[in-house]
Amino acid sequence: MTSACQYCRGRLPSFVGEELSAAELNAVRAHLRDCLACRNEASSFLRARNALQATGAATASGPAEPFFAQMHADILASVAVEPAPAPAVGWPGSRWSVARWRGVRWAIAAAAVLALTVAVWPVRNGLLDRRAIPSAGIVVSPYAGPGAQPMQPLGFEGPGESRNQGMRGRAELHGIVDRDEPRSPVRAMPVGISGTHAAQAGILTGQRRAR
Amino acid sequence: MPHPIRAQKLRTLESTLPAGLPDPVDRLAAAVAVTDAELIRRTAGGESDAFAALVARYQKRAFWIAFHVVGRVEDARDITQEAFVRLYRSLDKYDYARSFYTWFYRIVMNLAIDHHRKHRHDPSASLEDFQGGLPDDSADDVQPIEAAEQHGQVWRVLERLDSKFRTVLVLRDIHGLSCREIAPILRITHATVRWRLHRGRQVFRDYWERLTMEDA
Repeated sequence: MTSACQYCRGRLPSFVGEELSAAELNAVRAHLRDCLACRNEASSFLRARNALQATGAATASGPAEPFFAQMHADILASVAVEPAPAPAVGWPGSRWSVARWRGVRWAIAAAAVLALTVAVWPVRNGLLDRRAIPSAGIVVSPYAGPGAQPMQPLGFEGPGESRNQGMRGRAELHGIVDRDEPRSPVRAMPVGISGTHAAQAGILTGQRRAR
Repeated sequence: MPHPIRAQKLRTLESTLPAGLPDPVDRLAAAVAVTDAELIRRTAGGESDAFAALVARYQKRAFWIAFHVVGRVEDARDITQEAFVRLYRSLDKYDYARSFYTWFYRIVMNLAIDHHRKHRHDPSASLEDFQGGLPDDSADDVQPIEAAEQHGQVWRVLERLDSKFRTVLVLRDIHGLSCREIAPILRITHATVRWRLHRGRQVFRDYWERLTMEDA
């Protein structure tokens, strides 16, 4: 079987149902003209479909009218015991049925409950950590034009309260590194004295000299 | 001179209406200008003739669709009746923006598929159920034996088919609905309809060939 045969046979069910596009139809027809095996395959599909359609047509061709008249009466009798249907709401021609309005009302109520839950629940349960919100004094901006504020890392104190601006922070870093080393009587310093103060007091320089 | 499409629609409507209806119902059911949605609105407004007209318009089509799925006259009749009762109960749920027949056929198909699944392997089902129960007032027209045999074979093949293939074959190949019309009725996509048709025709053809070979 060639690839053309495969292409054709894959489309034969749709071919007999006349559901192929024009391009596919032309391709299948052209192939069927040349290929006997595919033509036989197509005829078997056609025979089966014709039999199905003939059976459908035969059953529907000769119905007894009294049968349907009786069925009509039976249906109306069984419906007569049912309560009257609810009228459609809105103006004539409105698409909105009672059920649809009911659905919309439920949807609005559900949306309101959901919005309240989302807004209130985290606050009530303390899930919102106010400390995580940066203070108003810190400005983090990539803008570097005239009048731009310097960028500062989060958690750094504001300009007015800063103790560690510029090169003073470097001295303090030295102090922290030194604190990780084994303590010695020389390096002992009172709690609360920062590295900057220690450097200013000459303690650190004295240590380095001692090494 | 009436518009050709309208004239054709009128002929189709007239041919589907049962005989012996009361005059007002018959006139209302045959009136092309009165849409299905209008009949539903009038029914909801308490006009009983409107629902009778709706039943007259659709009962034959509903019956034949149900019959081709379940294969028995009495069952198809019960399904049609139940479908109209359900329709009446849920008239307030009708979406006027959509076509009525899609909605109604869906009710019929759901009932027919449920019935077919329940009674598919019913041992009491036989070939006579498919052929003998059919109402036929054309008793003088004796069907050729070959044709009757062929119809019997088709029913046997249909009975073997899975309901998902049978439903699309019935709606497309017997009732002539397009794939786009079938999709919302069965609540499946257009692509699924195409695939089921494709596969269903293959399976039907295979069974059909095997059966005719055995009988030959």
